[in-house]
Amino acid sequence: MMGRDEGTTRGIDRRHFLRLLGATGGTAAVFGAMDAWGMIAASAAEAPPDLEGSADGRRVIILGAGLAGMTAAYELAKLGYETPIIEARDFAGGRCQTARRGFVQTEVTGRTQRALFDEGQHFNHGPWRIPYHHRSTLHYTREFDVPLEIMVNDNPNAWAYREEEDGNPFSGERVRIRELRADIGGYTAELLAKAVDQSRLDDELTEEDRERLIDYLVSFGQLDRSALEYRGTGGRGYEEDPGAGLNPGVPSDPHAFRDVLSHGAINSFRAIDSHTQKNTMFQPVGGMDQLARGFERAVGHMIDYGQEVVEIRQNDDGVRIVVEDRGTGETREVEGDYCLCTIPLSVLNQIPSDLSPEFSQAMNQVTYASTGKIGLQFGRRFWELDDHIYGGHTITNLQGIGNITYPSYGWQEQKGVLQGYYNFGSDAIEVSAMTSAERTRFALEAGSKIHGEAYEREFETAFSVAWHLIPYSLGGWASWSSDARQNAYPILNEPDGRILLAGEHLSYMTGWMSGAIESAWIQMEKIHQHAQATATRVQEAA
Amino acid sequence: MTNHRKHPIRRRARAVIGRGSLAALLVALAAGLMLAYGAAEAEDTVEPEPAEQETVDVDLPEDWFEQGETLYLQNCSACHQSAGDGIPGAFPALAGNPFVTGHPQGIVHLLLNGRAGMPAFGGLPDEELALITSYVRNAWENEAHPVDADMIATVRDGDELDLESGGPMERPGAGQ
Ligand SMILES: Cc1cc2nc3c(=O)[nH]c(=O)nc-3n(C[C@H](O)[C@H](O)[C@H](O)COP(=O)(O)OP(=O)(O)OC[C@H]3O[C@@H](n4cnc5c(N)ncnc54)[C@H](O)[C@@H]3O)c2cc1C
Repeated sequence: MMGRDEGTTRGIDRRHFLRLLGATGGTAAVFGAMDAWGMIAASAAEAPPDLEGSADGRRVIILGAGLAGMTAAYELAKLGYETPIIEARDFAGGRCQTARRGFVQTEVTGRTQRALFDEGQHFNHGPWRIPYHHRSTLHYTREFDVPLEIMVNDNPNAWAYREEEDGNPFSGERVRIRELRADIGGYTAELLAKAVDQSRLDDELTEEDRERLIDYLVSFGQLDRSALEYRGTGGRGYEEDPGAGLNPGVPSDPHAFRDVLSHGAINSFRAIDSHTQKNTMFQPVGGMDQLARGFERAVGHMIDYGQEVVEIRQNDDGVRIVVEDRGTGETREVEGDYCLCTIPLSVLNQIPSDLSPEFSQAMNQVTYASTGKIGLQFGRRFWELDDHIYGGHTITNLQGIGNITYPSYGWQEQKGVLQGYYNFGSDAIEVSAMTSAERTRFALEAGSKIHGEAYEREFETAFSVAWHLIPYSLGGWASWSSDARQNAYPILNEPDGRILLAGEHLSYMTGWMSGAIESAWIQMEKIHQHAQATATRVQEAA
Repeated sequence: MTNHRKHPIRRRARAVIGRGSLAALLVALAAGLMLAYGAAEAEDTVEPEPAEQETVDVDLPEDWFEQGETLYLQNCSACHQSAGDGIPGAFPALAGNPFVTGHPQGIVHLLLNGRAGMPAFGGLPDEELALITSYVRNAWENEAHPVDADMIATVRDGDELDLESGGPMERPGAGQ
């Protein structure tokens, strides 16, 4: 409906408004506003910066072979820079990893898990989806020939489950998401259509508006045209599906409006999915780490694996990185002209360095998300065979579980790995305090409430992660308060002497691979500009 | 899980806090902060001067220590460990950490807002944060003034806690 102050918002066009904001509140205000409008929260950059000039023998020491580090190495090397990458893990990709048979993970607690999934099965315990508008990520999947497939991110045929609870009409019951969506949409449309029809909204609407709105509501809610009533619809599913011969099918009855209103799952329905969750959603065929493998094919020869950065030093002329070999425990020093550090801030703030006090203080303003997932391998795809669920998420209010997600690969094969929980914050912390066997039990008990005894019977093996306990990550992703975004974040985007940072934490796409990649693009350009400027100065002096 | 719980009948616990010199306290606080989060090379800790006694009322349930322990095990122990000894290089120890037992303003602010990678726990209700804070300040060998929900609310509102000190103190009434 049109607001009263319609005139004032119309008076200023959006671009002008952003400029005004920029003038009064600085870039942070502009970004904040754009975020809120979902305008550039999208990954805005399509391709790496088009840089000219040559490296002139400069050496950029890159800390971390995650996506940010490998992006910078790949692009800087094209310009002729020497770009050794120091990586603490034994593999490239950082958080972009996938658990498959033999994958070993040791938490800072010392707890070790080895994935025992069957050959051919895998679980993306870290990143798992690529939205169509993350053009930077898609730039590299194309560049490195990483085949993609669809990740089903929304499935109305999955379940909505409510925990047992007194007075809840859906207590301990599973219903199809499609039923709730059809019913809440239908009833709401009915109410509104009747109000419009009875001229109750005439202050807001012209005669023509009224007719059009009613047409829209009839179609949106699937209402009976003459009575303007919602009586259910084929889209919510049938009692018995239509078939061949003399089987027209048996329509289903809607739930009562009041009951639907009390089903908490309706509060996750949106007119349009949020910006990062919309179709088309992709995943690399064979696991998200295939993207990391793509990068590694190009820059793997530059990576020094199993080498932990233990000190970061600099002076006016260059940088000196102290590195400890995790195998031998021996330390050595690596020198260069610049350092591009992509180590997560949760880890970096514990590494002794020559970063300025202002910079270190800014780093301390960030918090990291606690988050966990579990992959459960089942011997039979009962969700496909019995429930006709192909990908997507079952929504629950089971604490510590959140959604259960069905695999978007290997359709109709015998076995599959589903995601048994994806938790955050206190829930993630609490579940992470459990042993891996306890986590599995926790996940199985919850899932059995929805899928019955098949969930226990068909279960074969599990692999869980708690990102806040993973060495060299210590958290899922950076999380900036609006205060820190304004006061600390801009500082960290600037060079501190010859050290620059990059990674998902230096983006407005925290928790997304695009954030890591595009941050690397921005920071490597700064290095190149500095190198060009100083090279010219040297030449002029000569 | 962190469901809201009903608190048993409250009792006013009477706590006695030591009153050291403010300067010494600040030095200890700063050193504690460095130990806890951030600087890799902590400086020498300066012990606060011997203290006079200051008495402050806190509004906590009788079994605050036990309740605090339960909440601590749920919300904190995954990282800081049930013995409070943390994990070197990843999560600081809380046992014997002067930042934890120092003036409560610092630790309460940290819990509410997070810092240096540690997530914010501002989503928990004030009562639970009070129990957690009081627990970590008195678990293991720690001894410090417990904190109640009003004090959490004060810091949440961005105000300073009206305590002269808050350093080492006698353990109040109920407890271990
Ligand atoms: C549970 C989860 C789900 C996610 N889902 C998605 C998703 O669906 N889509 C998406 O796009 N993104 C997703 N993300 C985010 C994505 O994984 C990250 O944004 C991205 O991988 C970060 O890349 P990076 O290069 O910035 O950091 P990292 O990948 O963390 O790279 C940093 C590198 O530095 C190394 N390092 C650390 N310390 C040291 C040291 N002392 N010495 C040497 N090396 C060191 C690390 O080993 C690592 O290789 C998800 C993340 C998580 C945790």
